[in-house]
Amino acid sequence: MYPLHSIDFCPICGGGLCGIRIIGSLPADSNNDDSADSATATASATAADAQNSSLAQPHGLVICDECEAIWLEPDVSTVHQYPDLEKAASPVNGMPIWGDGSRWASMEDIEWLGWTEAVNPELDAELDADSDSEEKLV
Amino acid sequence: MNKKPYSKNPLGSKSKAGGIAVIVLAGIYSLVAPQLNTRFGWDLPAISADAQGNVRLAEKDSSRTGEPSSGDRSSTGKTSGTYQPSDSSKTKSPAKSKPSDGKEIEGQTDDLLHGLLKEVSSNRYQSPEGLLYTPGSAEGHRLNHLERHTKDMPSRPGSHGVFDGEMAGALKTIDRAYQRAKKNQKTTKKVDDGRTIYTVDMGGRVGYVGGRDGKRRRNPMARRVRIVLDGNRVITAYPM
Repeated sequence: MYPLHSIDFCPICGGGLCGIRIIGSLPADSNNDDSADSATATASATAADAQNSSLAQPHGLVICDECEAIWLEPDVSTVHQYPDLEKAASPVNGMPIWGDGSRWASMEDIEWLGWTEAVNPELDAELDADSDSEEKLV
Repeated sequence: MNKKPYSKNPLGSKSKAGGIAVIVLAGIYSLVAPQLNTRFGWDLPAISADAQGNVRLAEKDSSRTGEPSSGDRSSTGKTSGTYQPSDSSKTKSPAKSKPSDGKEIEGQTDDLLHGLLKEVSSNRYQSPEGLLYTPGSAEGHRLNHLERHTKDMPSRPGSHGVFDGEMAGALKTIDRAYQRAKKNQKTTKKVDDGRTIYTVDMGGRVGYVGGRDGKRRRNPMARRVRIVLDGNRVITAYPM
């Protein structure tokens, strides 16, 4: 259960990877269905849904996988913060950072975020590694 | 009618000789066993006599030392927010627990997780030195997170510290490190926004360096422990 793509080692604890995590689903995730389904879903959206969706906007965080320090931008020299110890939530919209609606970002996610330049390829997970490959994707 | 004396019964003399041999062997055993225990760290049972005077091996009390059995090292459950070790990870033992107020309660019977941790409330475990392991982290519980550092992740980028002795060993080492840290013995301390990060030199091997970097360096031994705390709550800990 470590990041697929990281930007650096953690400057706080020294042992963690500052991995890119995406909170929420990308628009592309829901557009994988047929356009007819998407159109139906769009049509049924209410004004309240629209308001909620702005809160549920997918966004990226940089999180240390050891000490859980969080950066809002892909630069560990900027200010960091820590989540709640037991219910770790995104400082952006309060969504759980470890729940089902979040994941370590794939390269596609990172491109969508526009953070590609920040990735240190030397810290990329080995996708074809024999062990714990399943865990890595959680 | 002549009655053969009992002593001339060949069966009787064999039995007597056997009895003497048993006594001699028992005597040798009782002399040698403590020395073997000390020298090799074994736990050979002592010889004792019951109410009828029969010599027999005393029952071993595996919980006497607080050492976990091999069953303590089994894998743990990973339900989100909970820590569900196998039943064998809890040892019912006459524990010497030492709560945060520092007073020892001798003879108290507790269920100790991994032979060390006392469940102070639902899913919250306290170590003898007062460290708390609570729900949280990507793994759902800090103990599940800590479990990552009981085995290598050879493909993980960078270094990955691995404790010797699996969960029971890791927890004991962390407690020893925290004990040293509180006394400021060979410890560096950094405080950051409510988090305290201790790096403690343990003076000897506590594990090894794994991960990709560790693998490249042929997994050198680790003799320091880094502990990240929020108050007395463990966020993470690993050897380095």
